[in-house]
Amino acid sequence: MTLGGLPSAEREVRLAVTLFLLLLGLADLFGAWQVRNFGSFTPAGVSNSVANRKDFGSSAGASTTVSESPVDLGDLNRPVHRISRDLLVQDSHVHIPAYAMAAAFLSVIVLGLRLASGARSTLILLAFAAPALDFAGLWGAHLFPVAGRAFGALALVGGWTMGIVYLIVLTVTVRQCWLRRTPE
Amino acid sequence: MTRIPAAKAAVAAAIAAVLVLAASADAHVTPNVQLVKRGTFIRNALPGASRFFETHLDLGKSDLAAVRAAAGWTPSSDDTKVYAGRTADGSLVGRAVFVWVPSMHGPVSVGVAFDANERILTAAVTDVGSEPLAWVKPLIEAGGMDGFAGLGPDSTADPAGLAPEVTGSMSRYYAEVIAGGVRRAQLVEHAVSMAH
Repeated sequence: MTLGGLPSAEREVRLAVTLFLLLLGLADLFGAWQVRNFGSFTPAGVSNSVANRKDFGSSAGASTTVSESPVDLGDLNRPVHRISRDLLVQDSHVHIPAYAMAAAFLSVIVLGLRLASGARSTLILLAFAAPALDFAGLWGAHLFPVAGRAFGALALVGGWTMGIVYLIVLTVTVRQCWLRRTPE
Repeated sequence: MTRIPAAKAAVAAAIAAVLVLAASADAHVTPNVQLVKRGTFIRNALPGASRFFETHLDLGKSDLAAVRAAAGWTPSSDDTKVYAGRTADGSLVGRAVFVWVPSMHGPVSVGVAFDANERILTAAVTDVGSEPLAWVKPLIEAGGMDGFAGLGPDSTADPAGLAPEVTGSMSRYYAEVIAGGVRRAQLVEHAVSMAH
């Protein structure tokens, strides 16, 4: 298939591409559920989830000190999602490759759409920039809690960027392959 | 070719836009599965207590060194929480220590309740990453956590005794993770107990 040749490709090719995009969207539906349960949509929330905490003993007292404050057990029943450094390493290890594959698949589809070269390049750049921004934000919030909100915002920008790229690719694909299909 | 009406396509696109954008924002956060609620665990483990407190802990240098030497672990206020249960007149019934233990496939949170003499009353896996759940669940369902009850401060939690009938290699790995968590909780409990 040549550049921009997807709309005029055989039905099976267009069907495979469209179904892939729809299935990716279905995965995102469950992603939305997951975010509702565990994630955060605010810079402060992201920052609180990943900020590095001080170890005990950082105040370096010679002896252990303890104090108590009343607690409501009902408050403890609410799960708090925390991403420690170990989990952040694991998330980076697992999700950056997955992100990269999603970006690569979207880029291949972009190459097949009838778009100007600049538009294609921009979409491809954004698809790969999104995970970089996302994880730069998470690691920044983890390592530099003092700037946690700024890095949290960066992580959110990364996530939203990927969503916007997906929507553009889906919309243009459906339009060019099925709704406004014109022979080459 | 049959065309989809533009209005329907626009509505579908708008719905997809909201859902996909929502999902894409921070969608990579890995969820944990809550198996036992911490408040419920404390209440059930310390039935004689009517008042509950969070114990704010700052380990001194010597206790910190002891924990590091015994468990190869540096506890933090983030991964370790301690709660005390007391009677109405303030007598200590026991404490519950919760520790997050990292593992190859995700974190495991272990809760251990102690009586006033540092003896383990009960232990539970309270939360676990969605990935290791498949290996941790058989250990719990086999009643493996019951084996920790009764251990005193000088007895080390033994992973071999945690549901030995569950023989899968990954489950055995998680038996070590869980037993390591119980050991960490024992060390924290001892430090708190000595500080009081």
